[in-house]
Amino acid sequence: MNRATKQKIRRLWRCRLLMSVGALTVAGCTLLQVQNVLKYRSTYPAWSLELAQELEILSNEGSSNEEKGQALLEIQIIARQHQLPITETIIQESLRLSELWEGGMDLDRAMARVLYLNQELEEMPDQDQAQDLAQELMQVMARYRALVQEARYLDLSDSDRNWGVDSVLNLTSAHEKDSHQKLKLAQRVTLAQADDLAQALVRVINQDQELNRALDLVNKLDLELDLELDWSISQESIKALEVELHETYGLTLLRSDELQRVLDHEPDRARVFLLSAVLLGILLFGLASFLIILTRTRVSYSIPMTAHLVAFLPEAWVGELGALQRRMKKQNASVWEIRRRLLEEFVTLLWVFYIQVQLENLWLPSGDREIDE
Amino acid sequence: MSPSRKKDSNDKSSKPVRLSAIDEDLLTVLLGRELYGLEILDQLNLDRPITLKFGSLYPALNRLEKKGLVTWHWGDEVDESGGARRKYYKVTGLGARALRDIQQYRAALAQRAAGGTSAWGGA
Repeated sequence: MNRATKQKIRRLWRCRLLMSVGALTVAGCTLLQVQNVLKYRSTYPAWSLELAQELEILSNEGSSNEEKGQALLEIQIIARQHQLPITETIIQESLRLSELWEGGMDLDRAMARVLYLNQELEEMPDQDQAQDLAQELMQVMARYRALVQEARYLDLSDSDRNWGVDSVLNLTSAHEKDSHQKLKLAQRVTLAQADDLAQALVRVINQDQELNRALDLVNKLDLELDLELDWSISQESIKALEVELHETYGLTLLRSDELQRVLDHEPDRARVFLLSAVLLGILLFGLASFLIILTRTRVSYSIPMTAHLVAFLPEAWVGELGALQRRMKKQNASVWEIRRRLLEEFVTLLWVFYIQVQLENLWLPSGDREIDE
Repeated sequence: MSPSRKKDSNDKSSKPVRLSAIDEDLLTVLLGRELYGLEILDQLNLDRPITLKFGSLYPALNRLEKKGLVTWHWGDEVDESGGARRKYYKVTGLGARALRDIQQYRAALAQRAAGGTSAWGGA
């Protein structure tokens, strides 16, 4: 084996050794960085923190009704998005009142409406008079029907008395004309009267119905206030939310001081986590580069595996190991036995060359200390 | 080519050479012939109670070479080990003299021991 080949092989293995050491070092740093990333990763998802914050708003007595209403809506959205049915049910019960808010009928305005309606009713015929109106309307309609029948009778009489004296006929016609006109007028007046009565009756009925509705609403609001269900959420409900959150996602519902502490440290944690993740990415990239370089370094031409040992041992010793291998093959030794023997000799010779011989050479006459000469 | 140690050989010719048992065995095996490592082991391990391996052979050869008692040259074979050559060792004049000296000492020692035994009335 010539010097150039030996140098090439030794250079190759020196490069591989350096790459291996580099890869191992980077791998070690990567493992440490993975620990760091796991340490600083978020243990609470953003939505759970938001849920906790909204619950704090609900529990806080100083929060306004608008804030509490908004908090309830946010919690309902979160519960829907993350499949928390118990939470959703509890919030929906509390949100019943929000429909009243959306309808704009708060207690004060409901009471004002009741008073107004009451005042209007006082100026109008009361409930009992609705019946009188209805009766009067019926009488007017009866009179109208009678007038119509009378008009029909006059028409018939006129056709029956066609054969009379002219003067008598003339006087009769004039009288009949006058009666028709009076009948028509009476009919018109009666109809107008009936129309007015009907409208008045309808107004009374409508006002009465609206007043009843407003009174019902006031009673309902008052009842709700008496039961104190307002916007607050009970401790039992919060406990139910905690249990559901823990059983579904394994998360703990943060409250008060603990929540505040987590929220205060969240920006720092996120920043450190991001930096750790970036560094981990760089290390992984470095590790991959080392491994790629390691696999791509090879000799341009193929040489036996034994010859690669020249990178670590003198050529003569490698030659002896080759001779030993051939002898064992001729003796029909098993592959594993040959490998075991060669490995044993290789490890021993590493110790001998790099430690024992170097130590002994300290006390021996000096000579060339290169690996082969 | 084997390294020349002419500078050291003059100094070594006058000084006694310290030889271990393995060194002496190696010189005995190599006397009058050229052998490579595996052949040396084959010769040494015939009827040897404790088998020698490469780990014992090479430090001994290194000591003998550094002391100028053996010399070597590269073999010409290009075999399956990827062209790794073997070194063929032989004893130098200094080595032969050192071996002769130690052998003479052992012979005299044995003779004295035998004569001493008879003087004292036998074993």
